[in-house]
Order: sequence, then structure tokens, then C-alpha cells
Amino acid sequence: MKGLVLGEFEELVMLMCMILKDEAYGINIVEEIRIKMNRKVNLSAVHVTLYRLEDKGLVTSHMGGVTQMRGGRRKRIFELTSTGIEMLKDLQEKRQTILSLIPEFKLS
Amino acid sequence: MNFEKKYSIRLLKLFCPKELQESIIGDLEEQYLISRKTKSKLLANLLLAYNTMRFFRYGIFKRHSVNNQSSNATFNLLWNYMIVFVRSAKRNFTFYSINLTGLVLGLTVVLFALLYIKNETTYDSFHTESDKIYRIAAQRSYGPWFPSIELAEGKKLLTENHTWMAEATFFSRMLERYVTVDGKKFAEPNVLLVESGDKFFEIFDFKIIGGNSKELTKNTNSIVISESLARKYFGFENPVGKSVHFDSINVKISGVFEDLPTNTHVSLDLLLVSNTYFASKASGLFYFRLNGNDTKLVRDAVLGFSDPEKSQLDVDEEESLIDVQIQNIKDIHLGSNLTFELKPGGDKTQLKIFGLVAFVILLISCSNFTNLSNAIFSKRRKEMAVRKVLGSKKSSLTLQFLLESIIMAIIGLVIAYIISFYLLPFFSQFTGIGFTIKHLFDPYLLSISIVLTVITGLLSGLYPSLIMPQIKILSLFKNDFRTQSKINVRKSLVTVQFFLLIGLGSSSFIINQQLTYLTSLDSGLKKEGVVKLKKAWSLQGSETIKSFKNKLLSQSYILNVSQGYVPGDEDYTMSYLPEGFEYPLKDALTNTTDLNYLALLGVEGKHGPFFDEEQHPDVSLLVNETFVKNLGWDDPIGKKINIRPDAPEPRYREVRGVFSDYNFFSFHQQVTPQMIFMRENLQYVNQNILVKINMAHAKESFEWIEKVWDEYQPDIPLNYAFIEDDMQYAYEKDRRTANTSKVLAFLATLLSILGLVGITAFLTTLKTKEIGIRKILGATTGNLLLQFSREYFSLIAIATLSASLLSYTFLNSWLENFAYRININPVIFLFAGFLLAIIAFITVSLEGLKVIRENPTKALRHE
Repeated sequence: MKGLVLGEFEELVMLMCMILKDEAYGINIVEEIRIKMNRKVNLSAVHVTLYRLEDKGLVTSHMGGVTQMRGGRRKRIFELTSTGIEMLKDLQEKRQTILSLIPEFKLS
Repeated sequence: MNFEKKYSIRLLKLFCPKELQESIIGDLEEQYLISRKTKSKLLANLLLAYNTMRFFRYGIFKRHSVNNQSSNATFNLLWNYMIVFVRSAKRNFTFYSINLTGLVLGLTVVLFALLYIKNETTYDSFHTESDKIYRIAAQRSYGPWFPSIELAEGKKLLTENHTWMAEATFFSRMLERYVTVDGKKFAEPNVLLVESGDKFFEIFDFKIIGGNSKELTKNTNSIVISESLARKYFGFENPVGKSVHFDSINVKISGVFEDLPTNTHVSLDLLLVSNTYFASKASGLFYFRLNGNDTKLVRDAVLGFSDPEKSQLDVDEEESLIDVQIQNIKDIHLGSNLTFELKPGGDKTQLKIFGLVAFVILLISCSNFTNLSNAIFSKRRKEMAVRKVLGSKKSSLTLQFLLESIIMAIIGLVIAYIISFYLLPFFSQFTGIGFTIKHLFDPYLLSISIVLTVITGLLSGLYPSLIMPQIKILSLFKNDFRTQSKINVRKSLVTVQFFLLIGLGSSSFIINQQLTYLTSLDSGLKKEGVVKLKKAWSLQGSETIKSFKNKLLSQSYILNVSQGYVPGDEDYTMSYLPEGFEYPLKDALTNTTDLNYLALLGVEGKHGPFFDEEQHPDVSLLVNETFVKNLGWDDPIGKKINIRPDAPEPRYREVRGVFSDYNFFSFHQQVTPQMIFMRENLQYVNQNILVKINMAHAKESFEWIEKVWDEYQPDIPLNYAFIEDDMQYAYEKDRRTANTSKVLAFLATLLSILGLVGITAFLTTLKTKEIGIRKILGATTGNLLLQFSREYFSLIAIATLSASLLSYTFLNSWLENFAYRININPVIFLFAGFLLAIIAFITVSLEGLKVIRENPTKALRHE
């Protein structure tokens, strides 16, 4: 974990993977980001990010089931590894601690 | 439509790693279907194409090497070879750079040779249908062949309707004239002249860059100029339509052509279209495009002009045609060398020698390359051994080595190109051809040199790459893979280099010796201070000429004035029939001049009434001693010579004097027989006005000459030179030979040293252990060095012997070109051999000392 830095977009993609669970594959993540974040991202960017995360050992992938929509092609479903989940949690906690130290953010 | 058939998807498949394709294409299709719901088909397709294109990124490419070893094995292997190559080049930097230097030298020479050969052999082949363009050359009854025909003959050809002639141009040469632009005067030597309506630019494909290309020669009193002339006159303004003053008339610029290419035999800066000027000309050059392929028809038609009954042409009898040649335009440069060619012709023999030498140098650098690559590869035998142990095939080792040599060769070519780029101006100066970068990067030259380089790399790499992998693994780990045969191959390569070094070195020395000898010879003339005002034909009428001469002589530092041909001019012979002979002779040089000629040149009169009497007839004929000797006359005075043997009416001249021999040509030739016609009052100037000046007042003399000239000839540029300088042109070719031989000898020395370094370095690594043992047993450094160099001494002896024999024969035949020559001193060859032995010893010592100086224990642990 030491020395691993997570980019903002990487974090976003990982979060989407967690939400989508078994449906976490390329185009779905793009759509999810569009709906949840109101942000347009390119398919290729998502793909490349996912592969990079896989290299870092934060996500794993397996080939999923066949659907008619995809002309009989399988999806590559991505899923967070325990390291990935750890890292996200760690990141959130630290962020929370920092935020709690800033008076302006103590709203609720 | 099947989604996979879409172009963008097909493209994606080309670059995208296989195991990613399924999910990516699936995603793309899904995305496509989503966008199809809301958007038009076209828009969706465009969107798809865009999204697909976005996959064209590093994050995708790099997956190739990370996840997919099997499908990219070849790529990885090649990449590995490259890395190993770079590492080994870094480790053995000296070796690799020596190897590269040799190759670059060879390739640079080849590049220049190709450049030169290409230029010489493609003369005038760029014209459309150049196979069909011909020139008419004619021989006149007074002897010489000319590239031109009489004006009347040319005009007749143009007006008559000949079936064999498609188009023709008939142009004449102009002497140097002034062009005045806005009050500024420019002397223009390269001027040609045509009549209006001439098809000059339809025969010659010179590129027109300004003006209406169909109407360039339409109007009389107009000119077409070259691009550089336009620059000179008007800078960057458009010159078309402007008026300038040419000689004595106003002319309009009707067009501009690109400066002529280097490979044309025409030299032209300004084409004058003028009917009045043209009408005053006596002869012109006739070029035409042939219809069909029978040049004999043309020859017959032109020869028909010499028949007075058929032609009714008013051509002077003296000038009547004897013979006609129809020359193809492409053969003119190398094949035709007539009197007054447009440009001096090329030399076929020189071209062949150039090509041969370039080939030999390429051969040497190839053999060096082989030698050194071998040495480098054998330093890497452990790498080879490990590769073999790990299961590498023989063929893949061969591939590795071949690849390395080809890469080296290509790097060499790139460097050679860079060097040639910087040396190009010197080469242009050396050859006298204005080569530019355009010639160097000519696609033809580029492709040939690339092919040649790859072949060089292949051939040089072939030997080591085929031999090395054959060696057994165990002997690779050990140190003994010396086989007698390989050493012999290497030795013979080195011997060849020694041979060339000695041959070229001694030849260059002797050639230069001969040239020094030539310049020390006395030609029999007092050339000092003799100036010729060239092509002074424009001075006409005996009164004008006489007053011009007298005006010059009015200053005390002008010692004498005369006129006529002098050494350094083109030769001029005519046929003559001496008394008592049946057939006319042609070998005598003829010259018409005034009475001061011999005195001005310091030639001594031997005997005869011409030298004794004060009064002279209208014409006096003088001959030289050789002339008398050749004819075997005892007393030549008063003998009669018919100077018009071919004409129906003979014309006799009586010999009135004999003058001592002087050398009219270079010392290539013995003194030729010579006839001089002396006339008191010449109506015209025969080629030059000659002025002898007092060299102590050279500056004033030239100022005076220029002043008088401008007074008499304000419209004609003065063109003068010391005859001594002009005569040096006769040795131009020899000087070029000498310079070439110097450069080549230098290159051969360099290449041989490189070769020696290579082979010594190789042998010393092989003999490291031997050296160690010898040192322990008490051998001194000197002993060892001698031991090493000794084997070269026998090679040098063989090379010296064979090289001296060959160069001796070659130099002897070269020296036969000279009537006056030195004797070859055989000691020179011995000296060259001795010098080479010293060079070899030094090179071997420098290379060998590195190993010999080392601690012997280290040497023994070498394996």
C-alpha cells in the first residue's frame, strides 16, 4: 500500500465498481458516472483506468455472462480486491478526520 | 449490419490486444445501441468512430507486452536483440566507433562516386523524348569537325518540309555582351541567339517559371533569362514584361527559366530573340526531334547541300561540307568532343576509373567491417554460449548478428549522408560541377545508397554470423576456437589493404613528381607579362585594329602588341599539300597573325628572307623546325605549299622563313609542326589581341588596357588573362588525377590502419594466455611486440612486391601520355613498403601494449 497514490478519477471508478457490484463493466460505469455525477467521461478512459487499477492490484476482473445487447460478447466484470476496499476506506477516514478539523465544514 | 464489420471496429482490432477486444467491442456496441435510440444513424456512427479512436492510446498499446507474451514473441526477441546491441556497443565503444568510422569512410566515398557517375551518365536525358533529339555536326573542307552548320544550311532545313523532322531549333552563340539594367552594366557570357518563332523550349525541356511558355520566342527583340539572372537584375520583383538594354538594342523580358540543371551540355543564362542579330551570324547549332528512326535520311539530306547543282546554296567553297554526323543529344557529353562545343565534354575513362575506385574502397571498408565485426562478436562468445545453453537456435543467433550489422550499416549511411552534406561544396569545387543538396537527396541516389548499404551490412555480417553460431558451446565457454582457415581469411583481407595502400601511395607520389617536373620545363616561349585580350573579334577593319594597337603602345610600359592564337587556346589545323607530296597533310597547326607575333612571344627566327629583309609581301608563310624536319626538306626557303588542296582552284604560299620550335600545347605532346601566316594589315582579329606589358607596372598597364578598350569597344566586356594562367588549364585534368590520387592514398592509409587495429585487437584477445605464459618465462615487452608484428612483415613484403609490379605498369602507361616524362624510381616502392612496416609496427604496438603491459597473472586468469 505504501507509495500507492490514488487519482481522483481512479477513486471515482472504484466507487462506481462498488455500487454496481455484478454489473460493473465499462459502459455501465460510464453511464453511472453520467447519472450520479452528471459528468461525461469517455469509454476508453474508463477502460484504461480499470486496467491500470488491475495492475496496481486494487481491482480484479472476470468474464461475465452473455447478453443479446452485446452481440453475444461477454462482459468483463470488475470487482474490488480487499486491498482496494481497504484503500478506499482508509482514504475516506483520513479525509473525514481532516474535514472534522475544519470549522467551516462542521455543518451538520 | 454486423457490428464487427464496421471500419472503426476493424481498425480497433488491428491495434488492440486480443484479450481486451471482446469486452471493449461489447461495450462499444452497447454504447452504440444506446446512442441509436436518441440519435440519427449517421451521428451514432460518427460517435462510435470517435469513441473507438479514443482507444488509440498508450494505456491500450502497452498491454501488448505486459499480458501477452506468446503472440509477440518475435517482437520481444527483436527488442531484446536491440537492447543487447546497444549494451555491447556501450561496453566496446572504441571498437564499435572504429568499425563505424571505416564504414562511414567507405560509404561517403561511394556516395560521392554515385553522385558524380549519376550526373555524368544522365546528361540531357531529362528532355521529353530525348532518344529522338539529335544534333547535326559537320566537317568542313578545311579540316575540323564543328557542332554547328552554316546559317544558310540551317535555314534551308527549317523552311523545307522534311518528313523526318518533327520540330527543330536553330540557334547561334553570342559573344560576351553588356546588359544594362537601370543604368547598371552586367557582362553576360552565356548568351544564345534565336530567330523569332524558334522552338528552342520545345526541344529542350528547361523549366519555365515565368512568362507565357508558348510565346517566349514569339517576338523579335525579346529575351528569356535564367532565374539567377532575374535575381541579379531585379531582386525579387517579377521581371516578366520589363525592358532592358542588350548590347545596342532595347529588349523586353518575355520569360524566366529555372537555372539549367548540371547535367545538360547547354550553358545558357540569356536567350536573345532577335532577327537582325541572327541574320548577321555565319553559323548555328541545329537540334531537331526525329520522326521515325532513320538518321541516314537526315545525313543524306544535309550532305545534299554540298552538291552545288542540287542545293543552290551560296556557301563559300572553302566552307563546303565534307561529312555530316547525326548525334543523339544524350551522347554529346561523353561521346562528342568537337571544336567549339557548348561545354567541354566528359571523360569516359575517368568515369570508369572513378567507379572502379569507389567499388574497391567499398570492398575494403566491407572487409574491414567484416574483420572488426568478427572481433567484436568473438568478444561476446559468452553471451552466445549462454544463449545457446538456454535453447537459442543457430538460426536465431545468425539473425541477431545479421541484424546488428545491418543496423550498423544504416547508422553508417546516416552519418555518411551528414558528412557528405558538409563536404558537398568541396566536392563541387573539385569536380567543377555545381552539386546542391537537391542532388544529394535525389530519390534515385537515396534508394540506391540504401540498397547498397543494406547489402553491405548483409554481406559483411554474413561471414561472422554464419561461422560463429557453428562453434560448439563448450569451446565458446573456453577460449579456443581458433581455426587456421579463419586467420588466413583475415590475413588475406589485410594483405589486400596493404597492397592498395602501397599501390595508391606510391602512384600518388610519382604522379605528383611528374607534375612538378612538367611545370619546371621550358616551353620555348617568354610567357612573362604576356596578356591576351580574349575573343577580340569585334575589333574590325585594318585601320581600327592598327589605331587600337598604336594607342596601346603610346604608353611606355606597354612593350609590344600583336594578335593571334597562343598556347592555351583551342588548336586549329587545316589541310595543306606541300611541294613534292601527293596527298594533303593535316597535322600542322595554323595561325594567322601580324608581324610582331614571334617577337612578342620571344620566339627566335632561324633563317629566311622574312627575318633578313625590311619589306614583306602581303602574306609571308613561316614554318617551324619540326615542320621542316617532318617533311624531310633540306632547304625549305622558297618551297611552295598548296593551302587549298580540296578546292578546285589551288592556292600557293611560299615558305619565307623558319622559326625555332616552341611548345604550343602542354607537355603531353612533342612539338607539333606549325605554319604561321604573317600579314601586315589584317582585316580582322584572329582570336586574341596579345599585349606584352612591363610587369613592374602591371597595375597601370591593366588600367590603360581597360581604358583603351572601353574607348574602342564600349559595348563589349573586356576579357583578359595572362597566357601563363590560361596554359595551366592544359594540366587541369592531370592536377585532378593527382589530387584524386592523394585523397585516395590518404583514405587507403586510414582504412588500412583501421583494419590493422581490428585484426590486432582480435588476435591479442586470442593470445592473452600465450602472452601471460611468455611473460612468466621471461619475454620482454619488446620481444612480444616483435613477435606480434613479425607476421605482418611477410604480408607487407608480399603486398609491396605485387603492388609495385602493378603500379609500375599502370604508371608507365599513364606516363606515356606525356612526351616529356620522368623515370620511375623503384626505390619509391621499397620506401613505401618500409613506411608501411613502421606504421604497422606502431599500430600493433599501441594496440598490443594494452594487453602486454598487464600483470601476467591476470592474463592467465583470463578465462
